Amino acid sequence: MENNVKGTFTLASGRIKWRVRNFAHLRFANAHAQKNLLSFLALPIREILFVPTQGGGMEIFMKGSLATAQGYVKPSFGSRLKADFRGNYQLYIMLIPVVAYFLLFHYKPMYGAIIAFKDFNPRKGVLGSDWVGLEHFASFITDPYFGRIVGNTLIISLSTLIFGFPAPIILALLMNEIRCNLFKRTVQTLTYLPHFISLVVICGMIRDFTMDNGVITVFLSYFGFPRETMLNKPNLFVPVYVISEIWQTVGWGSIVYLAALTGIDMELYEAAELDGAGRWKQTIHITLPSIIPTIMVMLILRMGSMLNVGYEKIILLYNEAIYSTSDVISSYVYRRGLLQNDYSFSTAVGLFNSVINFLLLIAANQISKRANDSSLW
Amino acid sequence: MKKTKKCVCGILAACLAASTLLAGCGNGGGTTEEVGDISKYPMQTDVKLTYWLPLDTMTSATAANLGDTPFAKELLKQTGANVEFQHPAAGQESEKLNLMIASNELPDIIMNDWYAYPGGAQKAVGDEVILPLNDLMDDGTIVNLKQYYSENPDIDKMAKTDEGTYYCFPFIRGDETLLVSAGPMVRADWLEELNLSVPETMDDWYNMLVKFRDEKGAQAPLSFLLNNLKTMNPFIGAYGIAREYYVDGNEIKYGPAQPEYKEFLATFQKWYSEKLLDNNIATIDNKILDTNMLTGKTGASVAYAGSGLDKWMSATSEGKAENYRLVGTPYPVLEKGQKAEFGAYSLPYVSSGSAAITTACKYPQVAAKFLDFAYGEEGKLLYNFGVEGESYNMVDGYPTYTDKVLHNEEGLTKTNALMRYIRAAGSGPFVQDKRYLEQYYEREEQTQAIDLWVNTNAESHAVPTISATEEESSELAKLTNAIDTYVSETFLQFIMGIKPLSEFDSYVSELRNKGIDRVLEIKNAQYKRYQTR
Repeated sequence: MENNVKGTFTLASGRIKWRVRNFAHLRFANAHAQKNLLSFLALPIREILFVPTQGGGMEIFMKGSLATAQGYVKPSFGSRLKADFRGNYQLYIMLIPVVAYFLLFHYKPMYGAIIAFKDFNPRKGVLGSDWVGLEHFASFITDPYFGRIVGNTLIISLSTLIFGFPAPIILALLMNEIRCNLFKRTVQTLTYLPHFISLVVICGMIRDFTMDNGVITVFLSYFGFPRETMLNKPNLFVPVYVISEIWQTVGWGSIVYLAALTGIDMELYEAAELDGAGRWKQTIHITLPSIIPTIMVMLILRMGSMLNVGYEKIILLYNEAIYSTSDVISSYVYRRGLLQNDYSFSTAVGLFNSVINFLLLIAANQISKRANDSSLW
Repeated sequence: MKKTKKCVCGILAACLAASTLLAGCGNGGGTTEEVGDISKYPMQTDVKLTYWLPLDTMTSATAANLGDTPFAKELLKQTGANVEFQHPAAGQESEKLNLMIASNELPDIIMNDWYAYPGGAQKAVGDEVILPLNDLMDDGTIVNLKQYYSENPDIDKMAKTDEGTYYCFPFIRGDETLLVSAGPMVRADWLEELNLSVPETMDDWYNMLVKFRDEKGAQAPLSFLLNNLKTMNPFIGAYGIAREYYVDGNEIKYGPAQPEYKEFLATFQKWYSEKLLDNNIATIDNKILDTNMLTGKTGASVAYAGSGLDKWMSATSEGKAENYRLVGTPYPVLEKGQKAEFGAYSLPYVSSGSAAITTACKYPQVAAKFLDFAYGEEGKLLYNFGVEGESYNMVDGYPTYTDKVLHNEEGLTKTNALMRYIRAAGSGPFVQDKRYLEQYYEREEQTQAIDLWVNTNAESHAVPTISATEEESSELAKLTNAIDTYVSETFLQFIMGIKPLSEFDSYVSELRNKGIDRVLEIKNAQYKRYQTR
């Protein structure tokens, strides 16, 4: 420990976590704390330990001691890391492959993103191609369809968020209330099923079912809907897309919430029951608040892909008649990229999307942090 | 992953380059002793060549490497060349090609669509990816191809760049019947039942479709894949325009910007609203079209002689509908007796399937000699008919396929069996022979249909392989994407009645806003350059 180690400290009996070899320079907040610590100095040094706390401070423990002194110590990051490494070097070794994976496969390839500012030519390579500055970004933003494709992307993305995000939560809550295990498992399996079907098949089914003589159209016609091919109608594309998206993902998405639900302390329910709370009140006051952190994390992660409406499902479903509501950034770029092998342009649009997504993610995280203390970092 | 590979490839390439340099020190790039005697076939040479080409699914169904096929074995025997064939995994062709070019680890020969190289073929030569062939043509190494060009100046013009550089051994369709393989077709059994003759004019078509709808109960009397409208110009051609760019006299024009387009839209709008034209035309795919054709929902279509007419007739002949019969019809016109201006037509020189010699090739003469073989007499026979005595026999000077390929005993389909011996069912650096197709189409209806479909002026309207400069291509990419989107979208809006035809003028001015005039200006400049080649 160096001179910058200062503050108060907590003493409590407990486990050994972190050995401290030298705390001669420790400064203490008050005499009481110092006195308590110093009295332990008589013991062999390895018996005293420091445990970093979540807030960046540290607790000091004494093996087998009954001491209960309160305190707070805040050493520098470097010294904490060094000490932590000394104690947990096995964990650090285990971490190496993961860090290497991210560096090699996620950070190193990022240098390829510079072709967004270049006129990429495979022969000259990524580094050798000529710089063109922001030309590709300008070309994207001044495209006559820029407004429409960004608008469509946001509309589809937001509707999927508003209608699609709560769906797995509701399903998980409903399933949580089911007591018959056989029924519960059957429902779970059935709702997972679409997740495992290839997207091409899914979209083929959607197209067949919504044709003028398709199952869904015929069924709806009994309720007064016109018997027309739905995917010919611009105003029906977003509903078809969102509803099928919910059908596809609701089961799989509910898994994480079901896992969070199992972590709730049963004693809370017992207590609530004693207080006279019914099922509904229990859900509102115990279940939901308990899984709010999970919901928030999922929501923040979702914000990070607001501009990414995957082109696969779009191009499998859309047609020229409904471009006005179905053409999104990725499908438009796909048409241009496929026709012209325009790698630089596609990269520029990809980068543009990523930057906006990144900003949305940070914003969502900050809001969530302020509002209810749950955040990604 | 990709980047690491690239890195490894780079190191490998560096090692290769170093060893090539060392090896190259002594001989200055291929002396006569190393090359051997290559003046006649089979060549006497120890030079090993590598040949990179995407393997089509018709061949890969029976062989993992082209070298395993009887075709390749015979080719190597007759030319005397040592060639190792390399194939990219299916679906990763362009990715692999880019990687090879970027990492500078090039094989000796690459088969590719060089026209699609970013910046065009001239750029590929300029980037020192592929070798110009002009020197090899002048010094007598490339003999057969040179002679073919001198006999066919049109193809000569298409196969070189604006600057006059020859860069590839091209895929050439050797006869006009090979250029047309698709067109309109109708149910012949229905025509007979309804006492109708094969329709010729747009009015004939209208009357026929009405009867199909009313008397045969067809829910979608006319149905076809929308993309075929762009490539074959049926119906729209009757109004004297194409759905895409076309040559009119000495100028390139864009059909959807012409006033005639409005008349075509009016007709289709009428057909659509009367449910003569499939009301699901925007959403149908091959599978749905198959169902409609086979179940009698649809009685007329626009499709290929092979994957349309033959497929549907075969599917029904195995089942119950014995009298199910399709016949081709001429491309519709406005007045009886007119010759259709437009139809399905592919240029005799298609840029895909062209083999080029790379700058990495140490012995370009050997590679050139090996590829040039295809354009000689023996080569033409081998590429189109395979091995004499095995896949074909000469009957009165006509190479006739044997049952081994036409009716394979091991149960291979005709195409798969053929592609073990020939290349003509796919593409590649050779001249496709019309006698291949004559035997490939087995149904009389197919050959009759082709005869009708060939009878158009489509050739005079086809836009040749004009090439863009680098600046032009990036400007075109931007403009044409927006224009294509707008035209495809409004086309359907007009015929579905979402957009009334009274808005046609504002549609044209919007097209101007989106830069159609500039696109035509660029295209016409390219066309001028092409003409002065």
